[in-house]
Amino acid sequence: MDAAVRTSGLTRRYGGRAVVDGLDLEVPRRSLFALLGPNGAGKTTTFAMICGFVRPHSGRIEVLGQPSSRLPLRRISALPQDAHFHPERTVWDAMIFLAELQGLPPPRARSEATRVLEVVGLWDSRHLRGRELSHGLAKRFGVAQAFLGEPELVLLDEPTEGLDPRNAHAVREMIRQMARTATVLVSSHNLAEVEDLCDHAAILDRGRLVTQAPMADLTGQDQHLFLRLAEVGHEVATALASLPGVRSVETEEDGHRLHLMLRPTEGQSIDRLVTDVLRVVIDRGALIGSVTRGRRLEERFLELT
Amino acid sequence: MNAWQDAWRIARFDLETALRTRRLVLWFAIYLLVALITAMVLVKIETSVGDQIGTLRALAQAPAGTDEEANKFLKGLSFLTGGDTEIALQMVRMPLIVTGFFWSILTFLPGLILLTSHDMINGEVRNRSTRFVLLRTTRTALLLGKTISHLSLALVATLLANLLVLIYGAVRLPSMPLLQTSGLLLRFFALGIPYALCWVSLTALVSSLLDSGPRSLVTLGVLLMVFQVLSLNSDVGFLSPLSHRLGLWSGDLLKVGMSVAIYLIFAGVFWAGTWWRITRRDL
Repeated sequence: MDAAVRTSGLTRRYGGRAVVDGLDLEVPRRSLFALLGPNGAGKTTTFAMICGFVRPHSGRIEVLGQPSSRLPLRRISALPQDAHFHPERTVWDAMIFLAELQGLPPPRARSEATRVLEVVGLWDSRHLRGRELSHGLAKRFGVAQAFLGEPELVLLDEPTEGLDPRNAHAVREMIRQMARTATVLVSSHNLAEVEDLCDHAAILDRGRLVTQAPMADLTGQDQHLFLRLAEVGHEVATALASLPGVRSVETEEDGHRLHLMLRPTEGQSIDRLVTDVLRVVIDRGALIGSVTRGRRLEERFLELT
Repeated sequence: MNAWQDAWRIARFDLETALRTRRLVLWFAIYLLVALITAMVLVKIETSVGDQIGTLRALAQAPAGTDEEANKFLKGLSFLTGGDTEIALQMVRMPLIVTGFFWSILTFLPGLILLTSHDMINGEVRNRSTRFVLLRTTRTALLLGKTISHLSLALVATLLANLLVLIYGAVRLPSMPLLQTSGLLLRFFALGIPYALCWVSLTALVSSLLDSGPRSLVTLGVLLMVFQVLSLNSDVGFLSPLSHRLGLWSGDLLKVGMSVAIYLIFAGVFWAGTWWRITRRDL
């Protein structure tokens, strides 16, 4: 696989405790990849090692085809967690400085700074100094600087944490836009957001990799179908169970939800199978409340960690 | 990517940032006040005992060994120069305001550097602001930029102090040879560059080894005292950067060159240590 980031046996200890423990991770190029895990799972340390801020005790890291000792600077950008810019400098000064350091000529640096500050809603606060920024504004500064230029790999540690819904939406849109040309690695506790945003995910727990897969495989989009019906009749359940490609049918929760395990037969597409399932339900006059393909990421996360 | 270009960019930004901090402005003001007080005292001495100093200067100008009184005077003065009569003679030959002021620069500049730059590395590691920079440039460029900026701060302070002393001296001492004094101040300013670089590099080293700003300040203060004590010892005194200050006064170019070279070696060793540490530590 052509990987933007590849780690093997990556280990980092703090005070004798392995915070990241033999991590083998592969982030495919041009993917929108989520790094998930409970608090203390080692996500931030993994980010910091990929960025070269923190040295691993053992293992290897390859970033955009280069070993971590020769990190391809300016081709990577990051939103580091808990990083604060100089308290005495204004947002604008700092953004121009970073844009120029990114290698952008002064006129382009100014236009880029303007663009990213507008995206994160920080344009009106550009004259505030670092020490005058609230937590939310400081976070927006961090996100904005990660969007400067045209990086090939963007690492965002909790990008929407502390942002109001409007700015969080703008940042998500920006992430989607960047993912058209770059690999984006996101860490977040907001699983609904990650599920909606990302196409791949890895789950860490206590420094170890629990699983890593495309989002569709992780949530079982091709294996699970949930139907919420006004009333689940015996006839509907039996008819569904007899459909080719349906492995099992279970009634869940309050008796209004059907959980179908699917495995398409040879030559049968998953979309065709889902359509057949819905036709059976409609033909039997059942009222459909909702249809969900795959399990919620949150359910899988709770199962695995 | 040009590491030097990045270093200059970092230095410029860091310098502008430093000049906006209250702590730096306060220490700059105190340093300039000390310079002004030194100039006032030196002018006072020059005006009160100028005639006697002139006589001594004339005696000292005589070739060594030809005048008994002059030799006695120089021997007495060489107590201040570690027994080196050549440097004592050189000091006497210069206008008092230059001698006194250069002495005060050599004495107070390390203190100013310690106070203003003790957290030059660990301050940025603590608030993790380096992380915004490190994906855009190398750790070496970052260290170079920080060194240039803090050296510039020390030199700006020295230059301002020089100007202050020169202006004050020119106003209060009409007989002061302005051209000669300016030339000497300029010369000593230039000689102060390797001296300042040595202390900036030491400060960077300690600041990269310790994560707490106050702890690095205390450590640097202790080191300064240790160097002071070491410099009094004739066997191991050469290990102290403070021992080589007197060479900068010398009229003998070879001695001045030796002294400058020693400061550059000290600076190189401290800087290499900082580089070694900063390219291996978590930031």
